This record gives sequence, C-alpha cells and structure tokens, in this order.
Amino acid sequence: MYFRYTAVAFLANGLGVFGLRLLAGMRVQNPNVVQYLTLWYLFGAAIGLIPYLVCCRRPFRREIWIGLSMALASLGGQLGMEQALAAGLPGYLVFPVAMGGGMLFVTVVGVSVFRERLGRAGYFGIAAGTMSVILLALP
Amino acid sequence: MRYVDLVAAVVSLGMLGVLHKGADRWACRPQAINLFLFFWASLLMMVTAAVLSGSPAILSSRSTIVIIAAICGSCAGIAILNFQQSMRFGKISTSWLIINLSTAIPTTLSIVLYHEHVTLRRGLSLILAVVALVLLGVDRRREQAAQISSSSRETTRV
Repeated sequence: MYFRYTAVAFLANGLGVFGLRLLAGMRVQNPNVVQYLTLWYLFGAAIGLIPYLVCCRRPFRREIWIGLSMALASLGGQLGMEQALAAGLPGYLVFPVAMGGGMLFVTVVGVSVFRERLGRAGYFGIAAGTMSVILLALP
Repeated sequence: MRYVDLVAAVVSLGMLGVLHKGADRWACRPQAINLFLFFWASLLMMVTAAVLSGSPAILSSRSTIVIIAAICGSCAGIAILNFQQSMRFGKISTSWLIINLSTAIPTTLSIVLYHEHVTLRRGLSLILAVVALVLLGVDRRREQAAQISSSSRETTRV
C-alpha cells in the first residue's frame, strides 16, 4: 500500500506543479501568479471535498486546526522565500537553502522526535535526494 | 535581517512536512486533512491577493489560467490525499524527500515537451533523483522483509 500511495503522490505532485511552466509555454501574457495559485488551491479543495464527503461526516476540531497550520506553513514558506529575495538575497542561495534545509529539518525531526530508524541505504538515499533537490532548486 | 526570512522559510517548509506526520499521529483522517489544507490555503491566498492587488479578482481570470489551475490543482489535491494516506505506513523522513523529488517530473516534462537544454547540473540532479528513489526503495524493502521475518518468528514461538 505504501508504494502505491507514494507513487500516486509522486506523479500527481509533479504534474500539479507543472502548471506555471505550461502557462509560460502557452505564452499567456502577464499571468498573475497569486490569482493562479488561488484557483489552484480552490480546485484542490474541490477535489478534496469528494473523498471527504464519502468518508467523513463532521470534522474533528484538531483536523481543522492542523489543516490551518499546514496552510500557514505552506504560505509562510513561499512568503519567506519571496521576502528573502526581495531583501536582496540571491536566488541561487534562497531556493536551494529553503528546499534542502526544509527537507533536512523534516529528516532531523523524523529521526529524533518520531524515532524513525533508517538503514544505510535510506541515509544514502536521503543524501542523494537532498543533493538532487538542491540542484533542481538552483535558478 | 534578510537571513531571518530565509530561516523562516526553511522552518515553515519543514513544519509542513512535520505536520503531515503529526496529523497521522494524532489520528486525523487523511481526507479531512487534505480538504482543510486546501480550504485554508485558498482562503489565505484570497486574503493575500486582496492585500497585494486590492481584490482577489479570481472571477476575472482568463479561461486558459482557469483550465490549467483546474487540472494542476486537482492533481495536487490527489497528491496530498495519497501522501497523507501513505503516512500510516511510511516514515516522514523518506516520504517527504520523495514528494520533494517529484520536482524532477516538471523538469523532465520541460525537457521532453519544450526541448529545453539539458545542462550538466540538470542532468546530474535527475540522475541523483533516480539514485535516491532506488536507494529509498531498497531501504523500504529491507525494512518490510525484516518486519515479515520478525512477525513469522513471533508466530513460530506462539
């Protein structure tokens, strides 16, 4: 089950972030990124409503709060990067540090707080993956 | 001061991953987490748009933008739902990496569809992404094999 869920998440997430490149490829003039992202999230919520209505009746209070915290964290990440760029930090520093640093943060918390244990292949995989994401994030 | 923004970005993006695992630990349903994440995010984006440009103006969006946002936003909704489901079986330290590695897909699609130039850096990053996915798969299989052998030992003992 883990492989199936992760494979679908991997493919769908990759396609989900391809939209801005598609807009650029179609030469849509002055696409308003905030407007696009608002619609992007709205359609994500609309799709999310279907499985929710099938499985759940009333939400738990903690689900509402954790959802809000996640949305704030997501927005905080984007705005933090934007502010750092606006303050004059170069893109080749901001994007790799934010992406790579965020991933290492999760790994550290996973290992130290959630007590996750990895084999040697897992640690090498994390190292290779982090380097890959940092290289991909470079402008 | 400008490094404070960068640190805030690192912590925020990291916290997003940690909260996915936290939601699973606190017995939250993946469908509810997925819905409320997108619901709140769209609300916050509308507020941001209103602050930045005076009004959200999503109703005046061009049809091309709406169609692409519909397709890609739906994909993102499916992605987060499946990712949250996978939290019940996997580790956040490796799953979060895999989700981040999916940025290799738009890179590959850009190369295939738009014939973008494959630089040494891009080529290397794509090779490293494949290496990472294989290594994480190997690690996962070993862990599953260890779990099966330990559970069969328990059964034999009983």
